[in-house]
Amino acid sequence: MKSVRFAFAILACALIGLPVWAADEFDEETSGVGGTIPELCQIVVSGTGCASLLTLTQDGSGEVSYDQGYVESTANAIILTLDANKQWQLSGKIDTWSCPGTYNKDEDDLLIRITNTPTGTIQNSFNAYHTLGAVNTTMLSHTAGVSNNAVNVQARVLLDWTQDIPGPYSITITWTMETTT
Amino acid sequence: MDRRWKRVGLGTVALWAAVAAPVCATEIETTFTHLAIPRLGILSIQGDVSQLLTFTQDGAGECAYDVGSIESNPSQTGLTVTANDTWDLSARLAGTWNCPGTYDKHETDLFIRITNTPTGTIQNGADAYITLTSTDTPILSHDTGVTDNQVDVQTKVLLDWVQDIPGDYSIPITYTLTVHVP
Repeated sequence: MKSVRFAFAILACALIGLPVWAADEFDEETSGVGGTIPELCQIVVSGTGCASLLTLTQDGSGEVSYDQGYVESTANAIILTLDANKQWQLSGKIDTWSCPGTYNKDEDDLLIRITNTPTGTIQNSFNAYHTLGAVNTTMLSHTAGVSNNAVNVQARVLLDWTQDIPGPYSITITWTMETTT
Repeated sequence: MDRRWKRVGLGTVALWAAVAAPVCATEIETTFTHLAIPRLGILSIQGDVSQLLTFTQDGAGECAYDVGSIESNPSQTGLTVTANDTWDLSARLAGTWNCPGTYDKHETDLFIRITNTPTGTIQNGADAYITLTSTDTPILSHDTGVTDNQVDVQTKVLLDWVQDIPGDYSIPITYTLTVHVP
């Protein structure tokens, strides 16, 4: 009888006690990854630029430019590279000409145009030459984000033998990119 | 006759020995202690990457998009493993990206990697960035117990100017410690 009880006890240990210490153990922890992405955009200006566009040579390009009535940059003298993570627009504005002496060159003598086909919709017909004003004029817009969207800009400055006296000239163009709703 | 006289003889010898020897008392008791220690493991987590995608404008945000990703610090998530038997540490995505609007960010835009050299064997190349799925992926294992085994985890999220619109993002990662049969 005792041997039967002992065998029963062993069996009970095997059936009940064993799984307790043999069971796998699990422990879990959870970590959240995330955050709030703000509206982001940026412009990088590159290219040869137009700082020396009016630096003309005598007995050559200078006279030719006055004769044709203007001087032009290369088609991609100004390259605007655009990035945005949502709908955006690109605009431009100018300040006033800095001129020799008391001469006041007309700001409308500066014209710009977009010469390539960047991502987005051309605004205000800036795929042809247009003037800029003292307030932003929209040139390009798009309904979604973009990455490395290159916008080639060409500049033209009108020249007049009777108006545009010799000397240093400069005017600043400010490009603005902004996300929109 | 023989049996009876034998008993008498043995009894005589025993009595004589008891008288002749010093008096000693010995008592032995045995207590049987049944220790059924189960497999035990503790996983704790420190650090917070819940704001990894909270950028500043005109600074870190644009840089991160230009790089194409944002990374946490190498030890921003600290896991501490304690176990008394063979163990595995695994990770899984406990959900999908919660995104702004109807945007559905790819779960494979999230990567993790172990950046230190904890006790154990790296699994599934987790010392370099790996993606996770909704099922557990072992990232570290060991064939004996450990105490306070520090596992540093770095998190990376891919960013795309065109895809990743502004707004709130979140995704949960669950780390699981399993202590099991060797």
